[in-house]
Amino acid sequence: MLDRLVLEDGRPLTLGQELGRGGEGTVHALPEMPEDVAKLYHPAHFPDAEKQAKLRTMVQVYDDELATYAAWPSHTLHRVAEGPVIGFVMPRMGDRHPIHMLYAPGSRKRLLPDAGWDFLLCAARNTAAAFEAIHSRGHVVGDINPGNILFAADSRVALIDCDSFQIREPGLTHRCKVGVGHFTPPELQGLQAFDAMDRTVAHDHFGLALLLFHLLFGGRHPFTGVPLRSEAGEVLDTDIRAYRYAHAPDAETRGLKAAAGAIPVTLVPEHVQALFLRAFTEEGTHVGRPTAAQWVEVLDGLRGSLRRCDRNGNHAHPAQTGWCPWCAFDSQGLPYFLPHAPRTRRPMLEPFQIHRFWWQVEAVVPAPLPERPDVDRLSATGTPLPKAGRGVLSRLRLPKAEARQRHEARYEAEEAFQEAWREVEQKLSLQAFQACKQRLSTLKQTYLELARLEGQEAMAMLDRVRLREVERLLRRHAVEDAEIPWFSPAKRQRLATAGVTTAADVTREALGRVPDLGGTLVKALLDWRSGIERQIQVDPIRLATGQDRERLRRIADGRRQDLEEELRAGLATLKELEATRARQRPALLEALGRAAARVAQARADVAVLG
Amino acid sequence: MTQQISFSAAEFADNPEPRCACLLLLDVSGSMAGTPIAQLNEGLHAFRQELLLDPLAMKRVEVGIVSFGPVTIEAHFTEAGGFIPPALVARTDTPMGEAITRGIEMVRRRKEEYRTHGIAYYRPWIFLITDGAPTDGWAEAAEAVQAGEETRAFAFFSVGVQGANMGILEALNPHRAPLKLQGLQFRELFTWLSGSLKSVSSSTPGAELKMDSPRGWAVL
Repeated sequence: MLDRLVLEDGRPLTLGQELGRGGEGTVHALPEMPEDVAKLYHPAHFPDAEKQAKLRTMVQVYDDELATYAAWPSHTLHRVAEGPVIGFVMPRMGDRHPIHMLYAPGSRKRLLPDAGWDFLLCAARNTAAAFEAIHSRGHVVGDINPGNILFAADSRVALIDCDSFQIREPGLTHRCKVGVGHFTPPELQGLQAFDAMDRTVAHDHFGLALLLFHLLFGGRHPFTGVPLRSEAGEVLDTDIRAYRYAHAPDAETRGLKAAAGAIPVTLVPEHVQALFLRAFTEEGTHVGRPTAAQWVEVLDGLRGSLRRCDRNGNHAHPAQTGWCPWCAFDSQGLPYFLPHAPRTRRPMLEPFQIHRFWWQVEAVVPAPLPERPDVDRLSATGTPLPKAGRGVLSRLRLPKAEARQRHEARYEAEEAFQEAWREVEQKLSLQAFQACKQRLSTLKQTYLELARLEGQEAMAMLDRVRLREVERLLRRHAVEDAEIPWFSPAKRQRLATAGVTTAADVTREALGRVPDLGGTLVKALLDWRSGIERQIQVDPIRLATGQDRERLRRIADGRRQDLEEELRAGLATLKELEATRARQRPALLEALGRAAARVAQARADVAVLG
Repeated sequence: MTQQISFSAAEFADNPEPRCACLLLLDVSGSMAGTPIAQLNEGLHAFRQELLLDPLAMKRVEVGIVSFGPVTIEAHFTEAGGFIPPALVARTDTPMGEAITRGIEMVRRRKEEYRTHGIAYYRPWIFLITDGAPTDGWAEAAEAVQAGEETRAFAFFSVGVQGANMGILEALNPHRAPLKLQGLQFRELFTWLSGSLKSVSSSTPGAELKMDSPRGWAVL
C-alpha cells in the first residue's frame, strides 16, 4: 500500500483512509489536508503522458473560486518527487448527491420533502453559475451528464470528474474524449468518437439548457414525449438530431408532443420559454444558444417574481401563471410537491450510508490498556542505613525502628501502587468501549437486514391487497343466484337471515351457525365459492394503491430513521468514551509511574537491611 | 379539473427517467427442484442488491419476471428500486413456447405504456433461463423472437443450465448464441446481468448494446 506520496512541489503527503472506489482508482482522505481528498489511479489506469500533462496544467490554472464550483485538481500526486503523475488532490465535496436525485420528483420528495419549485430554480441558477465559472476561464465541460453534477442540501451544485473537461492553455488544448449521447447537441450526434475534435462552449450550452430543463420541468428530457410518427420516440439521439423538441410551439410537426402529466413549458414566462426554444431548435445551432451568463441573469430575474400558494407552503411558482399549477396537478393525482409539513416529517437530507458510517466507527481506535509496570526491572539504590549511636540501646533500637519504618514504607508503597494500577485498570478499561461497539455492531446488522424485512412487508402488503380484491369480487356473487341442487327457498331464506348473502360470506364457520343446512349443501356451497375463487385472477402489484405503498414507506422510513439516530448516538458515545480515556490517560500513567518508582525505591530500601 | 389518471401516470411523473425493461423468463419445472431453484432464488436476491447500489440504474432498470411451468407472471415491470424478488418454487413441466410468447407480449405492452406517457426507453432485454426443453410447441415463439430481433424490438438472450437442450435454444434465436451456465453459478450470472444493465442504463436510450464478457459464469 502506497501511503506516503509527494506533491508536485516535493512536499510529502500521508494518504488517509479510503473513502470510495471507482473504475479508475480510489479516493482517500488526507489527514494533513482535511478540506481535500486525493484521487489515486489504479496502476492499470495510471495516466499516460498526455493525461499527465493535462493534470499538471489543471493544477497550474487552479483557483479558489473555481474550487467552489468544481472538484478541480489543486495538486498532482507522485510516488517520488519529479516522478510521473499517479493521482491528484481536489476539494472534498462533502455530503452531495447526483443531480438526478433532485430533478426526478420521486427521489426529490424523499430526499428533500420540503423543497419547492423555488429550490429547484435556485439549483438551476447555481448550475448555470458553475458553467459560467468554467467557461469564463476558457474551459469546456464536454461530458455533461446527470452523474457528473452533484447538489447539496443548500441547493449549491458542484461539477465532478473534472479531469475529463476540455482544458485550455495558451497554444494548446487538452481535449475531452468522452460524452453521453442524450446530452450531446444535434450537430455532434452521429459522431463516432470525441477525441478527434475540439469542443466549444456552444456544445456545452446545449447540455446546460438540458440540465436546466430537467430541473425546472419535473426531470423530463425535452426531447421525449408522445410519438406522433412511427420513427419518432424510438432512439433519443435520433430525436435530438431531428430537433424533436416536444415543447416547441410547432412540436406536432416535429414528431413528438409533451406527455399528459408533464409540466408544460408555459409554467415559465415567455422570455424564458423563448430561451429554451432557441437552445433546442435549429436557431440555436446556427445562430447561437443562450450562454451560461444569460441563464444566470434570466433565472435570477425569475427568482424575484415567485408566488407562494396559500394552501401549501411548498407550492412556489412564477407569478405570471396567476393560479397555482401545483394545486392543479394535485387534483389530477400528480403531486409534484408534498404538503408543507416540516415538523412531522424528518427530512432525509443526507441519506444514511451504513458502510460509510461504519468507517467512522472503525476509525475510533481505542488506545490499548497500558501494561502493568514490572517493578523488579526498575532500578533503585537503597538508602544507606543511618550510622548507629554509641549506646547499646541505640545500637539495638535504631536499626529496629529503621527496619520497621522501611517495611511499613514498603507496605504502603505496594498498597499505593496496587491502588494506582486498579485505577488505571478501571478508568482506562476497554470494557465500556467494547460493549458500546458490540451494540453498534448489532445495530448495524439489524440495519443491513432492513431491506429483507421491507421486502417481506411488501409481500405481506400485496397479500392483503390480494385478499381485499378477492373479497370484493366474491361479494359480487349472490348466494341467491347460486345454482345448487337441494337448495330450497327455505334454506336460502335461512342463510339470508344469518347474513350469508354473497360468496364472500360463505365460510365453513358461518355456515356452521345456520341450523339444519345438511352436510351436502354445506359442501356444495363451499365448492361453489372455491369454484368462483379459482376463476379470480388478481394482480396485486397493479392493484396496490399509492396509499398502500405510502403507508409501507412511512413505516419503513420511520424505522430506518430511528435506527440511524440510534447508530449516530452510539457513535457519539463511542467517541466520548475514547475521548475521556485519552484525557485521563496521561495523568493516570504518570501517577502509576510514580507509584511504581516508589515501590522500587521502598524495596531497595528494605533490601539494604539485609 | 378532475380527470381520471392512471397509477402509471403518477409513477412516470415521479420518475420520468428513460427505462430499460429487463424480462426474466425463468424455468421452474420439476427438474429445477432442490439446489438449482435455491441458487436461482439466491441469484435474484443478489441481482436486486447489485442494482440497488447504483441510484441511476435503480431509476432506469425495470425488472419483470415470468416463470414457467405453468406460465405465471411473478412480477410485472417495476423499477429496480421497488423490485422484490419472488420466492420461486419448482413445479411441473416446461411450457417454454407459451412463456416466450407471453413474455414478448408483456414487453410490447410495457413499451406501449412508455410511448403513451412520453418516456424514452432502451431496447428491452428478454433473458431466458432453462434447464430442459420445451414441453409445448415453440415454433411460433421462435418466429416472434426472430421478428423481434430483426426489428430491434428487443434483445433476446438464452442461458442453458445443465441438462438444457442447447440445440433448441440455438434454433430459437439464430441472432444470438445461447450461453451455457457453469455449474449453478446463478449468483455470478445475475451479478454480470446487473453490471451489464447498469452500463446500458448509463448509455443513451436506443443505442447499441455493449456487454461485458460472461467469463466467470458461462462455459466459453
